Amino acid sequence: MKSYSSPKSGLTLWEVLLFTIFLAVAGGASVFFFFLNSGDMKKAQQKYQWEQNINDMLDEVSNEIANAVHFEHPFNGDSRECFFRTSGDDGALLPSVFEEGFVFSDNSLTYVSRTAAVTTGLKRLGRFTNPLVSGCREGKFVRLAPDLLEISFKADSPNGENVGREFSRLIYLRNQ
Amino acid sequence: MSRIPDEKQSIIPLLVMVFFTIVLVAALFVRVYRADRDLGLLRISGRQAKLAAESGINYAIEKMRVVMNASDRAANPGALTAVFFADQLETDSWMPVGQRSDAWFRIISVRRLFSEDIETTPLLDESLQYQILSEGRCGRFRYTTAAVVQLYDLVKNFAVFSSLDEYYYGTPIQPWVESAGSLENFVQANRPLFDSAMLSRQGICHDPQLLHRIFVPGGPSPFRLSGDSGALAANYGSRFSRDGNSPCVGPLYCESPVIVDSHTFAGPVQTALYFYRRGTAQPRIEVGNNAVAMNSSLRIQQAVDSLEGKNPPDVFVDRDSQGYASFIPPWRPDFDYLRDLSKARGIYLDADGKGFLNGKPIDTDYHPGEAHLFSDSYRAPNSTRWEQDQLDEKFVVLATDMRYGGFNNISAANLQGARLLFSERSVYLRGDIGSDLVIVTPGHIFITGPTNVDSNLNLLLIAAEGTALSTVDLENYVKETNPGTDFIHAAREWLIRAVIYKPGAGVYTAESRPQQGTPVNFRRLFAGASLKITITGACIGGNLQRWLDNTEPGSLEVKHVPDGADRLNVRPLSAGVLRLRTRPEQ
Repeated sequence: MKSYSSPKSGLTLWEVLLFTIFLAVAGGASVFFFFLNSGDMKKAQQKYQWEQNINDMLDEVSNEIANAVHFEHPFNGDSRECFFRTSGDDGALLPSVFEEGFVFSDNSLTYVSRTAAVTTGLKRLGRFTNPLVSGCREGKFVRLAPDLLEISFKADSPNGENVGREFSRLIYLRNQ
Repeated sequence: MSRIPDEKQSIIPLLVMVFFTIVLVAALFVRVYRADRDLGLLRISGRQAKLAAESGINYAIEKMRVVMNASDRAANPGALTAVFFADQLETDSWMPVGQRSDAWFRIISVRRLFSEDIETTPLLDESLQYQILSEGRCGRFRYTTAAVVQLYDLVKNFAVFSSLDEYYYGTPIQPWVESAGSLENFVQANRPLFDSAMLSRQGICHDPQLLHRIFVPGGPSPFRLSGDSGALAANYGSRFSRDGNSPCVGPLYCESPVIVDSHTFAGPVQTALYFYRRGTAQPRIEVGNNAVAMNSSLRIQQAVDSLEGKNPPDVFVDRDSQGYASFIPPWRPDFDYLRDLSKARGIYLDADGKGFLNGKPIDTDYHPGEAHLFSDSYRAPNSTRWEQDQLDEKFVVLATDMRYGGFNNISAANLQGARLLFSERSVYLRGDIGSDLVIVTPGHIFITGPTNVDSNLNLLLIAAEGTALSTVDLENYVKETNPGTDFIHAAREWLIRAVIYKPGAGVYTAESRPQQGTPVNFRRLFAGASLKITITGACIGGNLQRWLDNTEPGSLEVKHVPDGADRLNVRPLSAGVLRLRTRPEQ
């Protein structure tokens, strides 16, 4: 007849080890969920959202500039503003007196139109309204090459948590 | 019945829990690790969709070129309707971009922009513009590109199209390549210039400072070369000069940069690259004060001006690319289509020189023959020595020639209404033609004297290997009859009333003239006199430099005839993108 070994008493080493691991996982999970609810996490989410919004806006600005039919300014070097001529929906070139552009002024980036007489702010660029970015500094457009423009600026988040975050885009001017 | 021990029963759920815990932790690590990669791939997908939409436009342009060249509609640009192109281009199905790509495109709309030709833009015909819409997709991204495509009627718009590229830019690296022994040696010695794309292997310079060093008169050698010879101590600009009048009497297009001194252009000028006015030179345009260049033209001029310490004077109008695209793709005829067309509706000369009119044999004598020919000596932009071509040519002769008893095999009677002549053999050509005619050959066309002088008939010469001059007949005549000076001075002036595709493919003779130490040149060949060439029509492609080098200096002229191909069933047309706009689909 087969005999059974007698039941052991006390904790074995691996039971202690497993208990410790589960305790650590449970503790880690609790800390993680507390962290998700914390103020730091919310600030990080806000920062990400703010950056994402600026990046989306920059994509839109880059696309608009890349589609310029005739890029007027800056011809070379850098400038706080850029101006270009666009084409109509049918592809026809709009009159040369009418130009669109982007201007860094009063710590913000604005989408503007310019005629021989006046420069006015356009209201919308896609889903973005003027000013496209507030609280930006050292904004400039740099004409790196005849068909290459760089836009760059430093921005401060509205809640003051992030100061001097740098944004930039290289824009290929496909019609130059 | 066996029984599982108690301690083993408690192990199983524990092992399951341990397993799932490990899987969960591993999955979290992988997810975090891949998050950035997925975001990156999303951006790449967006860009690929954008590029796919734009590559749809390139596809459309190439397809337009093919269908235009393989259709008799090209004879009348007005017949190139949007429906004609839409039938060839528009599809509902998606086409992959490349072979290993997840991006796709399709052409969704072709329409013609109806506008009048504007007189103030002489290099552009606004009535030949089309709008093409192309969609591109990759992943969940979709973009639409709207392009304005311009058709260029090359003969109508330009007197010279790319035939004077070498004349206006020269061969600025050739002496150094020759001295280095090979292009590779030269590239190795000047590796930084090529690595930074300041200089191409064809010698095209894209950097203002290097351009200045290459072309400033009297400057030192701008290139490094081991064992520099004394002849190369000075730069290319010391021997290059472009003042005086342009050989092109009409609108001019160059695919290479245009370097000028106080030069006079007879008509508007366009270059796919840039203008460079040297020093204090004051170039001038007599008619149609228009100079179109790439956007960097003015930039390069200003950079060089600042190097030279001068302010840019407002002499040379440079409108940059406003309303234009500086580059115009070259025209390439479809020889297979032209061969088939000549068999169906024209004269086809087979490899034996026998003629067929509309597919039926005819007994007209086209004087087939064979010859061994020797060319002038020339240097290409990258030549390491003087080069000379020797050809074994099978040919036919299309001519009014006293040698054939005044028999003209391309008179109106012998053409019998044909307006296209395709010859498998090379063609010798001289004299009158009897009808508006297109002469096509996959070989050479050799012009042996004045051609199509006494009429206003349209003549278009299309030779795949180029149109050359042949002095065989005139040399033989001078030798045999020893005529007086008056005859020679009259006979050396060749007026060619034609539109010529690939002109300047050298000068040939049947007499053996091997270049032994000295290059072979055809100047002062006729009792001390040289050929004078006047082309009344237009030149497309090729390189006129060899004709300029072998005719009397300053004598070669191309006088523009805008309607020089209006009545022909083939017309050189080119298509290029004028402007492009790409936007995400909403």
